[in-house]
Amino acid sequence: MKKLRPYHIALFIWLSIAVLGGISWAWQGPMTIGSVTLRWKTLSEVLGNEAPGDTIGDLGVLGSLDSLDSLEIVDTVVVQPVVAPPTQPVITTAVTHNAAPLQPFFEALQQADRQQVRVVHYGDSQIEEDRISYVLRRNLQEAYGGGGVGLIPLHQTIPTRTLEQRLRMDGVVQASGQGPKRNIVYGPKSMRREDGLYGPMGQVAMLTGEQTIELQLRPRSTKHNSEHYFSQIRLLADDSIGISIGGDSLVHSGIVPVQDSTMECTIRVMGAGKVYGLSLEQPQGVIVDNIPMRGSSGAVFTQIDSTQLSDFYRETNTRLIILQYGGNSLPNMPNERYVYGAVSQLQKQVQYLKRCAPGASFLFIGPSDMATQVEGEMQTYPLLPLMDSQLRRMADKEGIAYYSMYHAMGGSGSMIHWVEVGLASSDYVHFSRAGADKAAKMLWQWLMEQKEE
Amino acid sequence: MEVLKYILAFNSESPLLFTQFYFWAFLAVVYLLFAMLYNPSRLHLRNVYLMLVSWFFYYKTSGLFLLLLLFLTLSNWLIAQRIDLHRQRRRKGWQVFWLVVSICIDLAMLFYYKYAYFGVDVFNSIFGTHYSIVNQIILPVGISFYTFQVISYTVDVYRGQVSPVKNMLDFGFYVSFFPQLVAGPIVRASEFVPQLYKPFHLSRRWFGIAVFWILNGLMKKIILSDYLAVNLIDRVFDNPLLFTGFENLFALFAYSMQVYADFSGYTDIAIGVAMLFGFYLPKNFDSPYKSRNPQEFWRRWHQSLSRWLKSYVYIPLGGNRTLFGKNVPKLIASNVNSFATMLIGGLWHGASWNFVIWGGLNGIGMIVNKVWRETGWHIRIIVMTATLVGLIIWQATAPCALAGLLVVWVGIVWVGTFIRYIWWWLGTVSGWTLRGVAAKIEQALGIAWAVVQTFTFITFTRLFFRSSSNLDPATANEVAWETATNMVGQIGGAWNSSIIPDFLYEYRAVVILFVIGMLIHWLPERFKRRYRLWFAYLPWWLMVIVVALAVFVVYQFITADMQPFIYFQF
Repeated sequence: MKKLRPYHIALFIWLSIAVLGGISWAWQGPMTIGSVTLRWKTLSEVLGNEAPGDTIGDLGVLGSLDSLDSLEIVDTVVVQPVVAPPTQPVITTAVTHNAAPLQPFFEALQQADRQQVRVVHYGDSQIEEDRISYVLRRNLQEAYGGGGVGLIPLHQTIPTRTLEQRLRMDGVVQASGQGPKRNIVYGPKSMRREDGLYGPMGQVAMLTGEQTIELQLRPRSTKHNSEHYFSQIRLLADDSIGISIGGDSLVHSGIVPVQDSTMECTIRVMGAGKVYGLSLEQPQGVIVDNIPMRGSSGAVFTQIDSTQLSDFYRETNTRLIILQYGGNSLPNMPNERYVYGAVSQLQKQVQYLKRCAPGASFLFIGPSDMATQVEGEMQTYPLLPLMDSQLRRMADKEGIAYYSMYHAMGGSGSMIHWVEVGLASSDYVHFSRAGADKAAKMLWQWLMEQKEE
Repeated sequence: MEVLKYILAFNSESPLLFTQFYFWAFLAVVYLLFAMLYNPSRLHLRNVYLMLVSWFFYYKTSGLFLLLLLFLTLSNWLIAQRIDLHRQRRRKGWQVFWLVVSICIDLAMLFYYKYAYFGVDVFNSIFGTHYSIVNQIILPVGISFYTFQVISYTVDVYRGQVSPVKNMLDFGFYVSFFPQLVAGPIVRASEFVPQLYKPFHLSRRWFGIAVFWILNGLMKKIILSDYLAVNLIDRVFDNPLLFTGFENLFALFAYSMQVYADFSGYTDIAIGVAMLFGFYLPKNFDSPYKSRNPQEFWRRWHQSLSRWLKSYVYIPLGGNRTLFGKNVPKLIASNVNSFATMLIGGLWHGASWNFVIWGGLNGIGMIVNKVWRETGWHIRIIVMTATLVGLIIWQATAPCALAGLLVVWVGIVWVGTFIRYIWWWLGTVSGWTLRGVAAKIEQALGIAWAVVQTFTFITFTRLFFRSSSNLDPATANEVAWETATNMVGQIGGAWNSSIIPDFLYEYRAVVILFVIGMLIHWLPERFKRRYRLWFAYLPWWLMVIVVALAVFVVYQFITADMQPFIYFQF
């Protein structure tokens, strides 16, 4: 058997490197063959750009996890007007937050001891599982009273951290892919409806009346807080639908009192028709609804019947509507024009909702930082800062409050750091539960500071 | 100046990892100097050179924790000398004394750096206190590996199984040899020290095999581990509720492969790189998912750790003979001791309860399987039927995701057991047995059934294996428990089979890679050996081209666009 000497192997190693170097020398840049893009580093990239770990942009402000607690939030920045035509990117460098339009809501909170004050928090998957809303709800209910988790759908296909729902049809527990037929305004075409009757949650369950339906509710955790206690259930459904709680007599639509404040109950639902949701609440205090719309860009409200929305906001004294969107459309945007298009769409939604809820204040929460892999390095989506600045501009134009989640997190590249410290998921898009809590606490702190001022 | 600082100084942001370009540049330079310095008559120079290089490697990886490595090296070397001296003088007491001192020092370091947070957390839980660690303790890279390595050396010297290494520098080289320093294999002194005194020896064939292991490891690590993790597995584990039951189940199985590809890929590279320097490290993985039962799995998985645990934990605990120093029936001694060993093995993998649970589940699996195999067919079918009926009653009276999942799982196992029972019964009654091809098919089916069951069991234990290293133990436990609960909840309840075709199509790259990975894993060993040898004998110029091509392919996976986020369930 032939023996090798170390210099043979050294030669082999260096020859391999030389071949790879040769490829770099000849490489002109990414090469697309069919649907596959081949990438390799050019010689100049190899020689001049080899220091890894430098992809986190202006993360200097963030520093470490602890520094998030003391993150300074500036809200007095005047947004630069758009002077360039819409096809040109306009990135204001100091886009942050604006809370001035929330004043009526802060004033309404003072009356929460006498009546309900409702906050409706719409958002994309970033608020699923009751994330972010849960922190706002708990803090608001601690400060101003109230209880219950607010609106819930009849069939909980996506679990939340606060409430466990179990839907039985003819005694059989329904999994997320089962249950009654549902129409969802943000779902695929096959799940939509033409008459716009989706209700305030953007989803409706269709009951045929042929099956016995039971909904069991109980807290998800053993630690109980205000959100777990409710003393009435508001039924949002067709008049043909009735509910009976714990064997009591059947009640059709409206508010159904629960004997004593409770954390859990079993509701029997009867009749054929549409169920838009149920709201677990107290007669006074603050109610915060968590309404996540998975995969939605937020441009769906105009497809919901305006009368339904108006009636709900009016009857429930909705004083704040939070919209948290902007992230889902970004990954598919090839250029700035699409950002302007998306913002314009969102502006129409805001205008529509303002007409439906004239008594409510509005807060738009911009997209959180999101990162993607470019040439093997993670970096913030290039159009995200523009999206953030344009949303702030839109908010100013519409006279609504704006909170830049992107800036609150630390700006460009901050998501990479949040992932590293366990505050965000490895998809570089979603918060982890701890991250959502962190983001929510920052938002709450900001809101309270604005209120004090 | 900046470039020099970048090359020489420690930077926690860019540790020397096998998957980084910097490591391979480092290796090329180190090897060039190695080739220039090498002289068969001056092996000591080679050893000192490689030791210094290894120290530099560790410094680049862990900074000043190099001093910890040096301290443990020095203390174990000195104490082993003392132990040997007392053995020659037949002073048993002093031997034991120095052994205890050495193990205490080693474990104290390991406990302080790895288990301090966990220890405080456990203490607080038991006594209701609220102590916390003021200064942040950073875990030195590879401490679990090199601590176990030095313990094995000192114990082996105590047992008289190896002679103490005379030269401290040689010992330093053994402890710190860079290919295996941070992620194993855990090399026993008796396996490695004799190689220090042998001249460089690498045949053409072994050179080819070394290159094969390196490329094999790189592909496993980058393609089957990192690509799958980034594009699906991490997303599901981070937010299980965003995904349906099927997606969770797929991600869980894919995670099982990811863990294997990640760890075995890293040790494949270590073995290959060490061979290039003429040193032979023990094999660490032997296609573990071919195992037919949990015991076999642990003989094939992380073999160097399993051997270590057997030699230095299981046997000292009493092995299959004694329990707490008392003679007990073999069945009790071996099961209790192996369960305890698995708990310790679990804790070795991570400092939080979820790893203990993971170890415990593996221990239970081993014991149940051991007992099961010694149980007659009548009892087996009765037990399986009773278990299934019990679970069905549970699901019917107090339905929950776990019960639903167990009903399905045990139901499948019951069907398999029932078929085998009938087969056994027919054979017993008629005395009829299969022959020829039919017998081989019967045997293959039996093996496939056992392999699938073992793989599924091991995969489900991994629900507790995953935890972020940058979390404190309490949070790590909470996150791990929550992840496991949510995943079980989704797998056992949120099943939506209508999305399966869409999922398989949209995630086709991930699915295809997973299937290919598993198929390669399950290829017969003789076939694998054949293509390894085929590669090893390629002409050198062709091998260079294959290396370049493989690196090019790997780079495509490193830089590939991320799989877009797709929701199937609304």
